Amino acid sequence: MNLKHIISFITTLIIAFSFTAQEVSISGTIKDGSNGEDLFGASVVVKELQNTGARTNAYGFYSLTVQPGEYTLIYRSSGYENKVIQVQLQKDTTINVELGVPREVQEMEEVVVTSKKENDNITSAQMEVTRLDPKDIETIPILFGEQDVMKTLQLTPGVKGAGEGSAGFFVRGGGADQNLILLDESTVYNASHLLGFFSIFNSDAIKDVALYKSGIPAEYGGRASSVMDVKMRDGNSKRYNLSGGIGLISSRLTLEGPIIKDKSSFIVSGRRSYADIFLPLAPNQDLDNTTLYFYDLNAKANIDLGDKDRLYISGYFGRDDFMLDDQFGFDWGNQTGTLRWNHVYSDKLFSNTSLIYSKFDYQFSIGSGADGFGIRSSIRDYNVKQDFSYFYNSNNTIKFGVNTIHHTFEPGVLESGENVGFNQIELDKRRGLELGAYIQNEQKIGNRWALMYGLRYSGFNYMGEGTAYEYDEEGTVISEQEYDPWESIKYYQGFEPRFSASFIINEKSSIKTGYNRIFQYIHQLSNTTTSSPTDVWVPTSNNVKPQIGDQIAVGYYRNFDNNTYKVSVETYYKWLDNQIDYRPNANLILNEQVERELVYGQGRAYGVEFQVKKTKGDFTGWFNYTLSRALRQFDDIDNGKEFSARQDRIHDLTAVLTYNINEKFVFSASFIYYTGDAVTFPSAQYSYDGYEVPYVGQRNGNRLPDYHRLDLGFTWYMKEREHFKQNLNFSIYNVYNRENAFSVRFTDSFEGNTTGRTQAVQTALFKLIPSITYNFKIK
Amino acid sequence: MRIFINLLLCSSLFLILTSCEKVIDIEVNDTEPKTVIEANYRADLERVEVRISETRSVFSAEEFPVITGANVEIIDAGGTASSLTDQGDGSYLLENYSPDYGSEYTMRVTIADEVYENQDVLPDIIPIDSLTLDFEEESLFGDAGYVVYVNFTDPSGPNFYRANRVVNGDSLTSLGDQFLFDDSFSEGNNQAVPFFSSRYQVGDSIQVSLLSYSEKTYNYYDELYEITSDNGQNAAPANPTPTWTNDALGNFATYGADSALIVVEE
Repeated sequence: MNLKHIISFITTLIIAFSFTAQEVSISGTIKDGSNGEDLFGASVVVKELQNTGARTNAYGFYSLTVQPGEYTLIYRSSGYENKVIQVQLQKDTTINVELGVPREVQEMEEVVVTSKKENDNITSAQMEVTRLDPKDIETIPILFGEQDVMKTLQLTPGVKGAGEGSAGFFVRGGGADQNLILLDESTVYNASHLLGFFSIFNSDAIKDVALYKSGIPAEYGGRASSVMDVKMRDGNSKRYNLSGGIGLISSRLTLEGPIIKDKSSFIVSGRRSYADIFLPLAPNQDLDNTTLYFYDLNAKANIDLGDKDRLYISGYFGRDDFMLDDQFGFDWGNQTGTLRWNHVYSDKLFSNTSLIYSKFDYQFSIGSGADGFGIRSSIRDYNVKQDFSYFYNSNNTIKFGVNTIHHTFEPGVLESGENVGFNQIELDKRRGLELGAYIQNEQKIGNRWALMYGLRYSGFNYMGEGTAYEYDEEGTVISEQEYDPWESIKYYQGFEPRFSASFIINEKSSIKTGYNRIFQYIHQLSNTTTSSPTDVWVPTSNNVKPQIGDQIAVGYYRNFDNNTYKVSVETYYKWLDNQIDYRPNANLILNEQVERELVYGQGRAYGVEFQVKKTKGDFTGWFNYTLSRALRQFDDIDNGKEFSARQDRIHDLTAVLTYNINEKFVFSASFIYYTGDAVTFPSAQYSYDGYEVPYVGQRNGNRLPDYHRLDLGFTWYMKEREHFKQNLNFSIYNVYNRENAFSVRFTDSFEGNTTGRTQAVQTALFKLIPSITYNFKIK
Repeated sequence: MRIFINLLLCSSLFLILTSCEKVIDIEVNDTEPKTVIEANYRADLERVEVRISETRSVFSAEEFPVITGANVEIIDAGGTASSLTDQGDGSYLLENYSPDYGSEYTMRVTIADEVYENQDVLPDIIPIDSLTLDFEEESLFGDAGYVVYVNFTDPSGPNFYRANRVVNGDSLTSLGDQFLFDDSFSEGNNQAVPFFSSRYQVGDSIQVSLLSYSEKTYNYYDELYEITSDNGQNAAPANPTPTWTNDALGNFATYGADSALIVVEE
């Protein structure tokens, strides 16, 4: 199917099912009545017209087109009280609505009017999007009682954490660099603190988190496996709020309020950890002079510039700092900044223009001043984005837009003090321009069909200023060419079709399917078994081709017992091309010729994800089981034989349970089990040069021990006053104290072993860890 | 230096908070035994020594099996073969074998019906001009003390070296003491290469041997030490690039060495 066919197909569908008679539009915003926050995914339904309605976009904006007449409009959003408005519509009208009674956890049983959209999971066209409301995760026991969106996502089907001590996660067998993580549209390169212990997202400042695993909408591009779209809250535009928490490991504080009541607001949220104060208690003596902390700051302000315009400015700044023994230091962090302008052109056309800045950098240093040296590396993006939503009619919403990202990679700079005497090294900066243009339609056909189809044009210009190298098969440089600034070295382009469809069998069940193709131009190189901030980010170049991800997925969804139980079964198959692996003993640090250390191949991943979720009653929670494979094949590795990817966790099981004991007490538990990671072990050993040398076996032909762990949590909602709420959360991580393998090594000299026999020694990171956190909110 | 940085990166970073280690039972995939041939021609001592053994399984309690009764020959560039004498313990020896620097040697080992061959070029011995000392105050690299510098003149063209030390009579042979380097950072010059992570005190005697390797042998040892020091963190581990024909493990190294001694005085 070539491009012409795809475009005619799209236009035919649009024309075939649209109204043509004169009609009127209703548009406006739907907000939370208590704090003025825009509600994303809230809906308005016309009572008299079956199946006519609209949903709000990320900015709370909706648009609906009907024939002139008298209607009953029902506005609703999950967890809020419905609002009903009678209208006489003769011309285009703006109706802004605020919904009341936000849900509190302890009132789960008593929500005043049960939102009829409980069967949202059945009726929306979008392939199962995992959407998290930070209120959902408040009671799930996570390490140190911190509500952590990343950790919660890892409890959902298809998403696997990279392991303790690791940042990053894998979605449906994809690599850790194949997830696009966005914070208010800005790319986040390293979404964790303390090497995966905590995510950078402070849930007090987060409004919405959506994870797209398949059928990814055309407005997103750039990473082959998933998109994690995190939106910050705008801040209470009605009154000031101070909330926060004090815990054993970290504390946080959020201040928000109106700048101009009901028109503008701000929110500032900060966190700081002090894990290092407990280090003297650790068994390892070397840790006495060690500092280890992180902090982050989220700030956002928004201003209403009249009925049709709104301006947002938001930013994030966070840093981790680790210093061992006053000598060895390691710090890294992300900074992002976004400026956005919403403009409503008409009741049908909504526009968002964004200017985005994002930077990730890390440095490590040994010693200080004249007696030390340091190595740093960074990646910096400037991004301009223009998105339009055209609400063509009630059955068709067309989105289109363009996006340009300029990337600058600073792969490595070494600076040393005079007494150390290493030569200064500065690797060439590398630059690329990523382009995207998309068009997509979300269409409803009749009562049962919902489609989303679109096309994204994607391009990448690898350009100067810099030197481009060519290598032969052994990795020797065969040519070297200099390029001027902005001169194109290599340009890649392609089309990415996106599609998802759902068929509603009845109000209790539906089938959905999705397909997407995505090109990825940025790659994270890591030849260690666990990720670390020193994993190098490199662009696609004349040597490194773009990764390509193709995925199809099909799912069946069924609700039981009046939407109390939601059951889903999803199956997927993913093809990955131009995957990257490393030559033996590849050196990725400070290597100008890092590209010659790379070898290329392909991958595939497939699986079945089964979930049962209970969303009503005193007991709520979910249970997931995933059976899946993640495989790779490289001509240069193991003679081209297919092997397991590290994250080939065949069985993956998660159970989460929350029990509302009564108004005051909530108990929660979560249990995780997965097949151990695929690793490479020796298959023999020999003696050489006086050493015992391992003979390396098949790549990833062995397994670490299975991983499993139980966490428990208990929240006590303490006495509440009109303007003050508080709770105390106790949690225990890894209740039965299992030492889960972080890595395994083979040695004959472990701790007093005098037999000369090799033993397998496992390193585990976190054993049983209890914690207490006190949370409060002043309004 | 790269190895130094890698070691620092891996060492302490993950042993924070409550980490712990223990011995576990785990499965490995045992492979068929492979032949290992360690062949060295130490040219300045005119000594050719070959050890032939086999791999053993990972958790084995047995000694490494040795192979006796093999036929081992060294062949010079002109084609003349000289046999090594079986010592009966898996090693084979030939002494008083005079070297022809700059020429290529072939080693041929025949075990039952299997023939294994390897080649190496014998580089000229680069002599040590001198050993010097430099006093360093206490710094991030160590306590106060003297650093030993090896001074030599690096000829033009790529060169590959190893420096061994015998300190106060003890040979330093642990993995962390291995010091392989090449001249890519500063080609064709007078070199002063420090043992920068060691500090010596008054009274210490340090004997340094500077070995001149071929590129193939240098790469082999580099890869060998890399895999020997792997602590389970390497996601792409690999065996050293084979140098023997017919699937034998190991290397054939021809090299000479120059040595010098220095005693630290006040």
